[in-house]
Amino acid sequence: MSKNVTVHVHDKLNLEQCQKVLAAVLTKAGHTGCFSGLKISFENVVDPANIGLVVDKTLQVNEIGR
Amino acid sequence: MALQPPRLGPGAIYLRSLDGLFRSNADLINVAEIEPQTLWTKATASDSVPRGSRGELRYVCALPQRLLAHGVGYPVAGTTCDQERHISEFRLWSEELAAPWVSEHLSILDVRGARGSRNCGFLMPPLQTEKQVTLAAHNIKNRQKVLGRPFAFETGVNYFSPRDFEMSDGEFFAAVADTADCGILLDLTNLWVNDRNGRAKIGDVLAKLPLERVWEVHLAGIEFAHGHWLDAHSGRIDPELVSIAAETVASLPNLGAIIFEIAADRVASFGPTAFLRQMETLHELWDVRMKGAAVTPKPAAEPVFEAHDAPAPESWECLIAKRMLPAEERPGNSCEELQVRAEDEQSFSLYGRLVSAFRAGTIAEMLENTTRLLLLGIGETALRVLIDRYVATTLPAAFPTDEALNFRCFLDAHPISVPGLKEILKFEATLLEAAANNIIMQVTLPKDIEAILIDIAAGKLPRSSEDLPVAVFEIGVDAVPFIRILDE
Repeated sequence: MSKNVTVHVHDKLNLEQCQKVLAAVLTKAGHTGCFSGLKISFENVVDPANIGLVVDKTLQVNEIGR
Repeated sequence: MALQPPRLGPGAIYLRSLDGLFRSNADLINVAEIEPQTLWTKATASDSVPRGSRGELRYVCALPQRLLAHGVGYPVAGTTCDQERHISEFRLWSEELAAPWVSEHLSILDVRGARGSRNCGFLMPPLQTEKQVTLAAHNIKNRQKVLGRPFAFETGVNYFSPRDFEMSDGEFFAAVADTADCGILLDLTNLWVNDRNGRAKIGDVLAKLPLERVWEVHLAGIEFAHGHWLDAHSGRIDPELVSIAAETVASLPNLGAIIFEIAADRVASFGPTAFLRQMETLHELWDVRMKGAAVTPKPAAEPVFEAHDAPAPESWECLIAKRMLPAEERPGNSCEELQVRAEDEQSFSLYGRLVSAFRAGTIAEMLENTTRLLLLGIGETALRVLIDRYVATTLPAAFPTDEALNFRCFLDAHPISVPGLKEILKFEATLLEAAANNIIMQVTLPKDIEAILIDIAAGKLPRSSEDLPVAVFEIGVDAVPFIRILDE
């Protein structure tokens, strides 16, 4: 039989940041999927404002999605 | 091969981050291709079998699209090819999704190392020989049998240059499909990448394929990096590839779906509008597909009598193991029969870079605050060196939770003095363990862990946490995720 535990959340700590971290982890815990290119998640963390650049067939550099 | 797949239409690979877009745009996104393994979690025990949540399966089944199941992580070209451990879960998902067919990659992922079968970190191409055709066809027939569903293999990207004794790409795909009597998931992006890298002209490959076996087409954005065009799933489909696709789909009598692929880490910068524009492009392609007209099937691929005794698939996998596994995991024996050319070294170097980027990206996703804190504490260059050392000395893991927890062990064994690092790493690792094992965990942390997280988010090094008061935190993920502070 499980032990009864009294739980409360401290007034000063709503743990909003912690909950966000947990939510982010849960969406990414699956297999990393299939593609044969360059994963840029690390670059995104190195520079959160980083906008991915792609080089097209004419060797023009373009921002992803633009 | 009698299957004439239902005409499902244009669609896209389903990502959790795109769930809302899928549910609100069923008119544009007609098919959701589910990659079940990306929605599963694996417990931290090394022998645990990945499983999905029944709740999430029901949720995905309620999508307004027709659903397909596309396997990732259990490819069908290797001598090590799982037909057991993941099958019951995958079969359950494909049945619940009512997928008319399922698919997987004609690739190699597990190779034999010094201590047993090991994940080499990347979907590697098979050697294109008759022996490999026999092996792949055998694997596909078994996979089809254990799944109880029509099966199509995906035509892969290949960053190696062809060898003299190999079959051409088109001959190889055709021989596998005919021998296995299965469908083809024609990834035109992969073929186009191979074309642009000088490996094989896409027209030559398509000319050899039994087009009536093509049930599905994949399209994605490519990019240029490290001297190669890459199947990066980076965003917009290049207009030249769209033109090629338009010509191709017009000659596919049994086409059931055209699927757009984008990598999860590109979605945010690509944006929903651009995504839906791609769906419009796919609709235009769908409208030019071959509608009901019969084509004369090509005769089954003629057996190719190889000029000499081509190397066995084991030799190729041995070479992959020697080049891609950490030193202590590499097989001790020499890889007989296979000469390593200078261009092979370049290709293995590229694969190594891609694996490194993949693993670094996984760590950054799963241990985001730890990564940011390391950046603040030791700087980008030192962090890259640290991750390179980790990658060089540890095996890749198929599931990101394992990869991140392995990195935690590495940091524990190679401690770095950065204020708050020990605490943040412990916090994030506990989240991962709770998520992976689906258990409630308790962990002692600074009571004000939020302040450390806020400092990191603001780009500030937290102050030393040595003397901070601590509390016991409880973390759980099922059914409603929570973090709370225990106070008995």
